[in-house]
Amino acid sequence: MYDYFVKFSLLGDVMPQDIIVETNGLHKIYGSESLRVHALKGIDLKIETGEMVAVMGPSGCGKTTLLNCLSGLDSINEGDVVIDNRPISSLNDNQMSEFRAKFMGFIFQTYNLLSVLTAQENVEMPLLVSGVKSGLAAEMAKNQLEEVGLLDWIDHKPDQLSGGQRQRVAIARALVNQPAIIWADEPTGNLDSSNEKEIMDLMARLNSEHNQTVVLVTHSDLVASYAHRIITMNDGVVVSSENTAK
Amino acid sequence: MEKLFGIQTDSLAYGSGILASLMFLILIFVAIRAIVMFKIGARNLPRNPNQTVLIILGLMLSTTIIGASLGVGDTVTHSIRKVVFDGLGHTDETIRPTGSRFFGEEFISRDQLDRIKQVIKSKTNNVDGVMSLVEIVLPAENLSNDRAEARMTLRGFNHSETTAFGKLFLLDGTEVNISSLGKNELFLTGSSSSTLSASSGDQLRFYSTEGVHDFVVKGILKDGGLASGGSIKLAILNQSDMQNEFALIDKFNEVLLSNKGGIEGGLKYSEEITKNLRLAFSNAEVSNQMFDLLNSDKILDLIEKKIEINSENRSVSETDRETFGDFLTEIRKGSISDEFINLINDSRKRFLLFSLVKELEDSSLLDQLVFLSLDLGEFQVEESKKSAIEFAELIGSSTTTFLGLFGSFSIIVGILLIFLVMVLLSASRQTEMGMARAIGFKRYHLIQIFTLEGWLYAILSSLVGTLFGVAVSFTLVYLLQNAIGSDDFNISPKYTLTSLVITFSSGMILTLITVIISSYRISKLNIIVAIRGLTEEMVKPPEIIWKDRFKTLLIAIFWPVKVFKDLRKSSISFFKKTFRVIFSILPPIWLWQILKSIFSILSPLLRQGWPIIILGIIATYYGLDLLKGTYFSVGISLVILGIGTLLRYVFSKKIFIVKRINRFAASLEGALLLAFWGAPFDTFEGLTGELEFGVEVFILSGVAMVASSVWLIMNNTQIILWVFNFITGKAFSSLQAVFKTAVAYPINAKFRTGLTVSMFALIIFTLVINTVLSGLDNVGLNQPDRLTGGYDIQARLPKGFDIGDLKKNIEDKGFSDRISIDVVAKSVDVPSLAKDASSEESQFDELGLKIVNDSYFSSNKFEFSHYDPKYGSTPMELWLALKNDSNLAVLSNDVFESGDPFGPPQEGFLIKDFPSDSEADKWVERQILFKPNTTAVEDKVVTRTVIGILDPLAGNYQGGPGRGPYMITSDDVMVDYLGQQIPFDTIYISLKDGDAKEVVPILEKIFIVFGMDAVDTIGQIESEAETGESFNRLFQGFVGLGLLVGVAAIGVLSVRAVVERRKIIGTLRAIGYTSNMIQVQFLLEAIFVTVLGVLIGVGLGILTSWNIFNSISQEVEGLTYVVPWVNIIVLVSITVVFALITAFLPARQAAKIFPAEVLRNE
Repeated sequence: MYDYFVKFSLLGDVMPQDIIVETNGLHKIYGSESLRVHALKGIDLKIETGEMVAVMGPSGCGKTTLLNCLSGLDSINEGDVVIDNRPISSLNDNQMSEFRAKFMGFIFQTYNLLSVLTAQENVEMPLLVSGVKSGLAAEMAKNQLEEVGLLDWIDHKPDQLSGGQRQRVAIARALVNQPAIIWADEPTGNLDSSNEKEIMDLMARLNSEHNQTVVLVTHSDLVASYAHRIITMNDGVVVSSENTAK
Repeated sequence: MEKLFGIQTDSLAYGSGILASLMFLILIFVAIRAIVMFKIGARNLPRNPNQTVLIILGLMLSTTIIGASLGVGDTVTHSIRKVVFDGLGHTDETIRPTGSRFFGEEFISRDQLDRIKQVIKSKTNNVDGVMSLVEIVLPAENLSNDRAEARMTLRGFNHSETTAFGKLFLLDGTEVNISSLGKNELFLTGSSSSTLSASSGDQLRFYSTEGVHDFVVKGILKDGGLASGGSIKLAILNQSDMQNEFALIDKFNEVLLSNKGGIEGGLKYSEEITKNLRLAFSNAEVSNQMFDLLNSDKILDLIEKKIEINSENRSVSETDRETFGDFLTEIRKGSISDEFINLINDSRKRFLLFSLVKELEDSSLLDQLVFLSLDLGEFQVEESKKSAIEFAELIGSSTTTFLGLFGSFSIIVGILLIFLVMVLLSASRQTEMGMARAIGFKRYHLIQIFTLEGWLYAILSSLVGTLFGVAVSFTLVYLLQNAIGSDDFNISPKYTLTSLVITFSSGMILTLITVIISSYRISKLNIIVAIRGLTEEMVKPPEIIWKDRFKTLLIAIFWPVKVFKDLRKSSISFFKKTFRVIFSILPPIWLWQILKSIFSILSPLLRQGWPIIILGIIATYYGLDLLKGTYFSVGISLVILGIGTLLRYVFSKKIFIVKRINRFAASLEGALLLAFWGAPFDTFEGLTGELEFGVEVFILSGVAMVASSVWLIMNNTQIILWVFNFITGKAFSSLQAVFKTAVAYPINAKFRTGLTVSMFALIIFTLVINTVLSGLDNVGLNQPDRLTGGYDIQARLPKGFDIGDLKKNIEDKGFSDRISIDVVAKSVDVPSLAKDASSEESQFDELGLKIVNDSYFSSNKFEFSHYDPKYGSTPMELWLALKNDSNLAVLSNDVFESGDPFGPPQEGFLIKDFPSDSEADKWVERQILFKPNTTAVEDKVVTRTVIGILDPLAGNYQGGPGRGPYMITSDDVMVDYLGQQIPFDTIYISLKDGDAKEVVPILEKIFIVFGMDAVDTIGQIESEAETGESFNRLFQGFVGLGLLVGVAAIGVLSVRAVVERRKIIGTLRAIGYTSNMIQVQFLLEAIFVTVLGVLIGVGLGILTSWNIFNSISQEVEGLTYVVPWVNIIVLVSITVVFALITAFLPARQAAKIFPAEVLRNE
């Protein structure tokens, strides 16, 4: 099983289907009887392979919840999430973890790097989890950091890097496994405008070079402008899905 | 217990109680004044009940350990006291004839008895009873059933004198009295009747040197009153009947006194009564003459010099110094006083003074004094009960001190845990506190919040800890009872109110002080660092403005002026002003201000390192001058730390290398300190000479070695990481991510990890030393001949009984088929005094004389630690030399100073000019003069040539003449020395075949008429080893309590790690960690910290026990160093398993964290 994932993923040989993510009537409800929050109210969505999709909308509309449900980080109450023709609700916790390790990369607003590890070690993490031997993992991590322009900073720990640099490390960590899908939750939310642009240029370049699907949640119009399609949400439903000029 | 660490327990209880109450009251005051801060602090307790319970359990452990050691001490004291009260009953003092009981008894005559009674009547009103006693110890046999007892004590009382000494009751409760006994009738106590299986009407036969004596048992008595004898096998007789039967008419052994106030209450009069009677019985003329001799400037100067506290007098004990002081005061008065007579009549104090006079090298003065002292008094008055009770107190307090000493590691570990808990608490509230500071809270508000919260924890944990302490002490006592397992000594659990107060108060004081210190440290947070979660390294230290600091000191000195000035401007009410003034100028507050400002001036200087080096040099010099090892060691350590600090200071401005220099300095400090403290004990002896070390050095060295190892390792964690990456990269490729994080997190949190590692290391260190060293005791089991001399049985006979030819006796009695004897050797012990013939000194010191027969020389297998090669090089050759030349002798090994800080003070004859660690064949024969230590024989000085010193183990089963050193020589000395041939009282038997265990009861039965008391030597060694093993287990259990603290620390760390890393756990789950991997990571972290601590502890424990072993090996040959790996592996496994169990719940909690939930928070 592991070998399959490793081989599949590392070759960067993405799925033959055009639709990589699909949801049908996706519902997510939080809380108990007394305090129920209906966060997602029947989302139907299709995302194609290699597409960069921005999810926008006011705070509390369910963007992050949608991202978490799509990536299998959160459970769903009703409906289906199908990734690569695979309904993820059929996977148990361990299978889902393995699936994430091979198929997905994550970028967070607050980077969520492991403060006790160096940049290189942070990037090595997903590879090691996938069972890649340490020597190869170190080499791949180094290459990936070079690709995001941080070759000279590989031995630095997160607290010795700037915000932009930290996010680059997070991007390198998300991409190092060459996953099919990258989930980014407000990837530039903690950055200034020049860093924001740099990061988005980088993500756009990597997206086009590796044909990886990127789903990002953002408030920023600049970030959204890099996407092929903008999905707008409000109060737990998709109110629009519009292709951009890209 | 009355004393602990040399302080009266009552004073300790009052002191700690008052201090704890004061702290309590001050905190109540602070809480009332700052009620908001109190509420902020206090609300945390109910907010997280699980955390509160965990904190209280963690904080209580120090209190529990203190409580347990005090409880065990109380129980031991109480149990021995009980034995004393049971044994002595109403008797408080005894009066005996002066002189020894050698060659038959010395007795008090009827006239003397009357005189004693008159004197007592005229000198004191606090005695409610005076009773004469006739006592003999004889073998007894119950003719009705053949049961026998080798040592039955017969006591004869005169009914008319017994009123104050309690009544006699039969087992059925009927009151009886001695006058009801007819001729040749007696009462037995319960324990004697069960030994002899005797009941009323049975006929008992006693064997004396004069023949047999038959008595009939009239009844069996309940213990208590006149029938008080403790574990003694006692028979009570009518005094006149006994005197007639045993030809002791008008002869009395002792006069017993009962004080007013009952069995326990009479103790308070004992000192006064003894003093008065000693005065009354002393020879005033002799005392006067002695006073005149002592009243000279040279003696006064000598005493004065002796009581000065300086390096020359380092060996003078506190008690001796006190005695010298008393003599000085009394002699200075110029005329003889009652106090002087009392002092000079106390034999211990008198000998102490004589040993001082000896230093004057005026032998005629000393001879006069010694000569006069022989006529000082007719009777010895002894505070029997008081001395025995004092002994009980001493044993009790020694037990507590011993447990406290070894428990101190656990207590230190407990304090570290309190510190850790407080630091983690603050870490969890860092942002909150930063915000509080940002909106205007002052630093002291944070101190108040934490101190008040900690105060509540301290109260609760001290309460719970005290209860647990009592419970643990009773559990240990239960184990102790099983370990001793003797019918003669029953352990009765006891916990005194004094101990309860000390436990609770000291627990609270320790916890509160730690809480206050940690609160102070916590309050020093940087607001930005706290709010943004940065590291402290990023904060630039404030610039030092010396002018301001000195100004603050000046203000602190005139603190009340500042308070008045500030309040004058204030608009608060007069009442509040007055209150604040009174509070602010309280000495502790004022003093605190001064100390704080002095520290603020000193601390930047100390950070420069050089003052620490100077301090270290001073301490080292002081240590070398006074020959105090502790000062020397602390001094050198300070110098090392000073060098490290100086290095850091010098390079602190070089920003690019500052990290490397810091690491280098820390590594240097750690490595040097470890090398210094871990070096063999005599490493520096060549440079420093022999230094004196107290017991405190044991704690100090343990703490220093552990601290320096942890310091060294925590500053070189990269190496550990590298090793781990290397290993995991090769061996566990699928789990390497988990391993990497499991090691990286603890290594990164240096402070908390270092603290927890230290906790485990300290405890394991102590346990490993104990385990390794207890293995050394097995030399007795491995080489029993060194202890037994190769004899299977050793039998003792009462003085005066001559058993004659043992083999022939056995044959005559028809037992030769059951007892097959190979060799019989014999000895008799004679109390003697001795001195080195070459010594200028005229003083003779106590040295027992063991006179042995020829067979002893040719049959024993005892070895020698030192010998004169002129007489041979093997034990056999040396013993043969002794056999062939009756002018030769050997000395026991305790003629050498032991230098053991834990051991009892050494008394008697000592060899001071020959080091005990010299090579075995370096002894050169020397002449020793000795004379009998008794007035019963003529004072005759005899010389023997000592050709060797016995192996230290040889003393154990030699049946030496009591405590202290002795000399072995041939029985040719007997007539010449004692003027007559006396019977041997110890018999050593080697069996041809057969089991000694089975032969012993047969021998005792055959020789009951001689009162033979025999032991199977190997069986004795085995049973002692077993008891020793039980004590070791008990001790290990006690010290092992400290492991609980370490395990609790792991729990606290794990819980905290889960809370701190929720988001990272979510991220790890997002990048593919399964929940099991998260759980494994947390468990691995716990194992890593535990194993690191355990490895340091095992390593240091083995190193230190190796050093101790080497040191002991210089004294005792033939010891082998064995590390009991199985025991250590079991110990380590138990520790790791417990740590795993503790970390399991938090790890499981971490594994259950739902990633979306924690990631959503951002």
